[in-house]
Amino acid sequence: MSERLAVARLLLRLAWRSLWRNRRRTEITLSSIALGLSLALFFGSLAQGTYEKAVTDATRLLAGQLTVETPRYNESPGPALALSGAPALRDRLQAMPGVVRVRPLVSAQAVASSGAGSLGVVLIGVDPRIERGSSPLESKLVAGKFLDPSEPRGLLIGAGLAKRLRVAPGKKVVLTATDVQGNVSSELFRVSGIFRLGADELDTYAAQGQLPLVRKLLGLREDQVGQLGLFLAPDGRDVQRKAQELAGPALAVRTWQETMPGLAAWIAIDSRSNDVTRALLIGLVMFTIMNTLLMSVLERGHEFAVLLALGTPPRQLKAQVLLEVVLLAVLGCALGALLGSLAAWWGQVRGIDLSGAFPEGVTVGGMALDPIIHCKLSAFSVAKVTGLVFAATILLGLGPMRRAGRVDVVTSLRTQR
Amino acid sequence: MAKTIVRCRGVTKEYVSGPLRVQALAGVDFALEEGAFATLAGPSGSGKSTLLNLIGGLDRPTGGTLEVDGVDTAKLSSAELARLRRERIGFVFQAYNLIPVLTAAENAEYVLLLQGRPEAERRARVRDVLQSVGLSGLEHRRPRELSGGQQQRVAIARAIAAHPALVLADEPTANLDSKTAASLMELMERLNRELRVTFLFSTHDPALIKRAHRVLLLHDGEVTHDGPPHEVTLS
Repeated sequence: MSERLAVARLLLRLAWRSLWRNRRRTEITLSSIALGLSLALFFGSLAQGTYEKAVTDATRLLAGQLTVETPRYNESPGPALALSGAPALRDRLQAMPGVVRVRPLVSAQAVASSGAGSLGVVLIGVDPRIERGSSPLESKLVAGKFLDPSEPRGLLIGAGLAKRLRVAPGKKVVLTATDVQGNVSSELFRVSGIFRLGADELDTYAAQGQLPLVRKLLGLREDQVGQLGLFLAPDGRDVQRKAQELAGPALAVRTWQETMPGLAAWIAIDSRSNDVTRALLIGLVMFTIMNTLLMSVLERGHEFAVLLALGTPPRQLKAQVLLEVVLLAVLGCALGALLGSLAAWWGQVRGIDLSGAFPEGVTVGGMALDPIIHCKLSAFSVAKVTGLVFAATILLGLGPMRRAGRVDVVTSLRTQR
Repeated sequence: MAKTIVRCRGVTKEYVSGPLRVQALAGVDFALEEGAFATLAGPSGSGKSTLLNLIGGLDRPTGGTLEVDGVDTAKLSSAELARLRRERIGFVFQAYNLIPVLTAAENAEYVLLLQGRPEAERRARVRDVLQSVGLSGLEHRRPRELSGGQQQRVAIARAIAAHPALVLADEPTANLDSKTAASLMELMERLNRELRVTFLFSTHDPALIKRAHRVLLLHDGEVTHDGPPHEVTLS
């Protein structure tokens, strides 16, 4: 056993010292692995942060991570398809394990009018007591204040709409919609605050009012809402199935991917596109590494011939070369994982301001995205990408390893160094 | 009666490259006894290196039988040939061929490690052989920190450390100046005399040929003379 250990130590010594024989080449190879891996980790975490931010903002603004609604509501959202018995259902859903918050919501097409003109908008009725602290509009107010339950006619409008209607906080806006009976109905609102999300479709064509007044405008009863949006705990498991059981067959429980298919499709396409880009990046790095490994073996043909002549078993020679590759991969991946994680951590804590690159704002899947993107790094993604790069490096080492064991001793010895 | 270490009977070696056939050895017959200090002499292309490669188990003969320490090398697999080289043969090459990333002591220890010798034995043998070749104090130097003569001494230490049945040396002094070459020959002679190491080396140098106890003169792949050096006429 101790003799085997001695051979293992010899192999490790040979591999380690051989690695540093051509210091510059090893440093370049290590840098290639580290750079490729750290870039892949950083951009992966940036993309993940972007997706999570987009989904969080979209679900907080529009509905929820899960939405309870009547089955055909998503085909034609409006007061005619509102669900009844909302308060009782809301209380029961709120009591479910894994549910953090349940948000009642009413939305409809309406026309907003002021003395300066009229414009079609999507009107969303919400409960400000539930929205406060979580609504993305709250942090995006550029004038006025957030909805206040003590001011029931309060209305939040986008900066684009405010400009078109030439209104400011405190000014009146009349909203006209078709109610549940099919009659035209109007209500007077007063602008509480003006938000700017950075997406034209939201800043010009969205308005948010308080649930009771929006219900009144649409002719809905007090127990009726368009949707109940559910926000889940991170460890919430199987909530959709349980919520469906609770809601019964007359209602549908949908995921955010079903209620916002545009955003889900954008994330899926962008994610695949990022995977391809990262694969190409890693592929390029791997090509460089393969070249280096092959060169390192080819130029040592004479030395390998000597080792074989001395009686070194070919498998031991192969093990030595593989060990060199393993050491290279371990060092390169450790360095790359460290650098990539540090960069992603910095991006997670500080955020990366893209407003300079996108002065018009960033819109994804119809949702305005905060131009300050925070990376999202998880131990799983670090382990996954690092593992992939490590495995790819080892795979690339198999060719040179086999080559080392196939050296023609007599021919190689004839070639004097 | 001394043990026979190498026995060649009608050994031939033919290289085929496309339509070209080259007869490198054309029926070599000789036997080498334990404790011999013999040289393979002859002009370039006479087959010296080919014969050393065959005896060293680096290559296989095309015909005839070749036994090393009683083992017919033609019957051995590649792995068994590697084992034969590791266990019974020591090599000294013209260009020293030390492992550049290992120190002098580690180079000398290399074959002992391959053989799986215990650490205490390895250390004692390495210390002894480095002392024998006059390299005490230089154990921790790497090959690039040693002169050509010192490197070749390390190569000899590596070759004899495992107490092989035979040490094969292919032009061991070719890269050395005449003074260093003479000193190396003295070392080999001393090791042969004191430790009974069996040496078979090839050389072009008439001065070194004269120091061998036995000369095998090769010409066009055949042994044309086998006897003491004073009987050999070198052209």
